[in-house]
Amino acid sequence: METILEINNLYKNYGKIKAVQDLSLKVSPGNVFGLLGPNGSGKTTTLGVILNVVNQNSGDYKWFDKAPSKESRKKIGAILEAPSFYPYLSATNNLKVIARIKNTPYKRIDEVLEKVGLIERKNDRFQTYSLGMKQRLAIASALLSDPFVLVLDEPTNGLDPQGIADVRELIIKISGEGKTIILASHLLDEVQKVCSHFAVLNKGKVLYTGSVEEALSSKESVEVSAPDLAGLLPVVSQFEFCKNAHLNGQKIIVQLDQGKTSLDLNSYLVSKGIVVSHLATERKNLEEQFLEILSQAK
Amino acid sequence: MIRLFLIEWIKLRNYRAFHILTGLYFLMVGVICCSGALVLNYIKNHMGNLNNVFKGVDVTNLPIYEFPDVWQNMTFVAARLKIFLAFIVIISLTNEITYKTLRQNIIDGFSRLDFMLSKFSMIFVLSLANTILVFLFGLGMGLIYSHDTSIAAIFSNMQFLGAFFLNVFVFLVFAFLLGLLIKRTGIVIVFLGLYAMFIEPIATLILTEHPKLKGGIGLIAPYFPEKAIRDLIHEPFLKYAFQEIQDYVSFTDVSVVIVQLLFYCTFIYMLLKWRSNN
Repeated sequence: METILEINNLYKNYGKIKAVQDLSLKVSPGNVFGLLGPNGSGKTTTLGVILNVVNQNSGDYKWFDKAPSKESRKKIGAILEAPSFYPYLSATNNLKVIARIKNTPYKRIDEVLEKVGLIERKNDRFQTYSLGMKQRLAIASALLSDPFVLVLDEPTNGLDPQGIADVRELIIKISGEGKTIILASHLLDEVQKVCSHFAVLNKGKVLYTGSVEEALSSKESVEVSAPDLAGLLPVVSQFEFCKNAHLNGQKIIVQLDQGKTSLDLNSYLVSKGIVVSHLATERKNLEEQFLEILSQAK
Repeated sequence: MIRLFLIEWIKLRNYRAFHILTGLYFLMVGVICCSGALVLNYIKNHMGNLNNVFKGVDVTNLPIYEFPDVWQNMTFVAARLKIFLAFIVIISLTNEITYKTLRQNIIDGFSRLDFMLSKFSMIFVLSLANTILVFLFGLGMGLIYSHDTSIAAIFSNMQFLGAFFLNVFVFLVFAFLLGLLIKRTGIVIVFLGLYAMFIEPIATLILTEHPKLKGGIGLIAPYFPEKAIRDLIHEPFLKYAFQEIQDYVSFTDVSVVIVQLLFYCTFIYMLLKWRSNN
């Protein structure tokens, strides 16, 4: 299996609204792939197409290097938008329906309910569940058939901080088992915390795709500060690997060339006879990166 | 196919509303099918005008449960009630749309055809159960009231039970199609009720009886959905008023209904296939 999912030139319109335009993506085995974008950027539509519940206008996609079929869907655990279950059935009976569809033995039901912490409520009807429990049951249902791939659409939506932390921990744990995860979210720190790769969508187009590591490492900056701030700035600016330096409050923010770190800057300053009172490497976070990508697109 | 039925069964087994509605429905069928003697008594005592129709015959002596006439009589009456069974089918379908479980079933690995066949298996079982029940009521009432209880008499005219099954099955598929088209439980139920009980009977009556339409455009009347299904079992009771009736199931009537069934199935499949289930 070369690729888990490959999407080629996907288009989807809802009347005049272009929900997805010329979208192409590739997800490799073991990736935790974040689909990022503001609300209405086409994330859920894209997931709907690859899960065969939204018919695309043109373009195609492949699961596991093959044309999609109901058999490929059985190897995927997926939730789309809000958890969808029969409100009048218990968690166990809801999962029995899914187990039958996916040809999974019933003994998995208790295992996944245990995993998401719902085992004590397994005989209660779905309609009596809190939002967090519904969301956890959705994750349990996605895990039921022990699938190669998990597709999760806003899995922490509407959860309290504890619930969010639990779900994230669960995702990290599952990805540790070597599973591929495709995760749509508009929460950037969520993607930064759990994803290995990501794509940024806006107005149905892919603006950026790459690994989280790459996107962040090229954006390191160093903060320095010294008692004589005014004297420090010209010295720093003259450093041969300094791309850009500017004053920000009581600190100077320095952008260094690729491959250079705070260590290089510090030894340069020492050689100039300057002792700093503060030196810190600031990794740019995905949020700033994301906003930058979006603003470049405009 | 059994797997598909089992999936549907898990959905319904623990659904209390389903149990109550089907229970009430079968109870109603039983009560109405078995209360012939009471009805005839009522007619005798309270509906003097109707007595004239029977030309002086004591209506309570009418052999409505006589083998093999009981089969046409009972299936004709029982077929009037199937709309309540259709409501159950509609609820089970529109629930899947409202709760987005139809979509989730497909995400989980159902094909559109799997979903359709899984619902059809439920419709099949409901129709079969209904038919068996009517058979048992007919048998019971016949054994109590009939003068001729020979095996030959009992088991002749079984064609009406076949026609009854087809009648119920196709009507439920028709209701399923409406449910898929309209999607909103309440609206589908009200629409089906109005359509089957008023709109279509009135429309077909006008088409067949209006002097200007009769023989012309009026010829399409037998092909209306409800009318075609209804014509599988013709009105039997007029024979007691010495009128000519059709006392068999005609091949033409069955063919019309089978063609309609195929049309509904294709239409349902197309709708499931081509509609994005958002």
